[in-house]
Amino acid sequence: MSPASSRTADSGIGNGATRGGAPNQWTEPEIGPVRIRVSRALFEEMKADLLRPHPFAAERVGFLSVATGRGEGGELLVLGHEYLPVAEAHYIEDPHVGVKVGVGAIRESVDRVRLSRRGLFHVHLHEHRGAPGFSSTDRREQPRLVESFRRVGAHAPHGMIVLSNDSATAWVWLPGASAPVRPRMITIVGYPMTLIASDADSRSRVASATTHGDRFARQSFLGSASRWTIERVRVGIVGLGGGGSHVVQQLAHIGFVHLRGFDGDVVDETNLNRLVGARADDVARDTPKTESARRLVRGLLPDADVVMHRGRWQDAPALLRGCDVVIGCVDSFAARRELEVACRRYLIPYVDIGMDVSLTDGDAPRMAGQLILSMPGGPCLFCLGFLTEERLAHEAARYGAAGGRPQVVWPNGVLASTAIGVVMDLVSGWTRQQDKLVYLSYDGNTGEVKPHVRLRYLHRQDCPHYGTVDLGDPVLRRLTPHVENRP
Amino acid sequence: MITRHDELRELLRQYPELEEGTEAGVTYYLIPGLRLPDGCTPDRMDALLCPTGRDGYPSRLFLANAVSCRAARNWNASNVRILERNWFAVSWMVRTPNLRLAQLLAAHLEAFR
Repeated sequence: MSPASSRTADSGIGNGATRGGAPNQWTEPEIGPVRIRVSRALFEEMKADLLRPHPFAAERVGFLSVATGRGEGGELLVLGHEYLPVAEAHYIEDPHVGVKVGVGAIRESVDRVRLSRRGLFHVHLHEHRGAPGFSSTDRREQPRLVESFRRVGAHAPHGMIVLSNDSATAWVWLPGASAPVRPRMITIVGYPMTLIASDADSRSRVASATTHGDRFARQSFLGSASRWTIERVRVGIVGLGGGGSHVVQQLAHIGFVHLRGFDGDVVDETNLNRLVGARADDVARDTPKTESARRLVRGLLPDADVVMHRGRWQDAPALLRGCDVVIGCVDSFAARRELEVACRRYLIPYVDIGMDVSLTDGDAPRMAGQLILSMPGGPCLFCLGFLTEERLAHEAARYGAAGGRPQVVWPNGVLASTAIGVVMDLVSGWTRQQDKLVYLSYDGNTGEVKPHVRLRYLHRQDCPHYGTVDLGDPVLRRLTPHVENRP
Repeated sequence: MITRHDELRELLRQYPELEEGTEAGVTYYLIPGLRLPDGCTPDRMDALLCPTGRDGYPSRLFLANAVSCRAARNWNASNVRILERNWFAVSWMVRTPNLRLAQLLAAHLEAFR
């Protein structure tokens, strides 16, 4: 299939003339402050449609509707929302071009932008592996189509994406910008994740893997690209206490250099039995847990890009949204619900760990914990029965009465290590498992970690609680006496 | 029979700026600059009405900040994240069933009198 075959010559967008001062053919844009995230399911849905043979066209085209959000440093997060294939009736037979679609398809897509107020990306596919590129025809014709999206939806980003069998390339026109940019990263969010950085080529991957001497030699079995990936993944850790401090330490040992931590507490005497990296003198100095964590990382990775927010993540939400993976080490069910909502909204895999010790008169204490991977699109904490309205209600009713619950270092270590194992498989795919559901239970009395029994009774792999309508920044609907009369 | 549309129309007459949003399958109503009962400081505040069960309450009214009012109240929800904003709520149970949205809102505002 010719990579130069995508064309919208009958789109009414023009046939090569310069419009509005735009160049006749765009050259490779600069990298801009944009990250694109698309769920694995949506990526596969697009591929499945675009790979279908067409009776006369050499390839198919479609559109990707996107939601948006703001990440760290004002980065724009572009979140794949819905794939809109071009209907058969809109393809026009033309032996001179690979694919030609009629003005009806263009009109529908422009209407979509106007009515949904979301961004729209033209999508097509080059059937090979590795990074695809836009052909000269793509660079000439597709920007004209994008221009028509921008005219009716100036507030949203629009652009063009070309997929390959396992990768993607995109150009993004930011609102108000006259020229496109390439995203810093395109992430296919699934198990495992695929990270595609615009600064990546095979040489940089090899160079990245060889600039650390022998430090990471013993983890080379993770795959030739794992070092490259580990150096680019941004990991968020919410809660830097007993569990989170273990997590931070292990991430640093593995070589994760982009870390974002959140905790509002200082190190106190009761933390020293389990807070990895804390020192006795931190108590007298009221050292924030964020500082203890930063010190831990910098001791291993002096140049690491570490941003620690001393406070709640809710007061620095953009920092959390910018993460590629979030590990939650929080105490309450309500905190887990809020973290999961945010992670689902911005297409971030969320790994939750927690443990508790139950004390009952006459019986041995019971130590139990859990590890759950909440993957956007997959079963959530409610689907898995871990969060329930009853639990949340019970917790709210005893608000402020929790007191100092038992906490010790070794179960935190077990759960944190297991979480890191999940994150490593997620970002490197080293076990070659696909679409894995992770809900592990930990029995601290027997030392067993095993798949939770609830997985056996999980009858659906999707999630009815979080829909794509909740993707990106919330869009509140202004009610009027007229629009409220909807079906 | 009163429909949800009728209820919304009634609420809209009082609060023309009313907005609706959903999160995790729950519908919320945002009332920008809701006028609070006399004695509250400040006297206006963005409010978010959750007409369905949450945290053990059959319905809840969240405010953009904690406010001071004549009676001391138990603000047992602080910085709750909903629709990408932080919200506060007092412990206030409205048990009367089948209230219309406007009545429900009024019942929650009783907490601040």
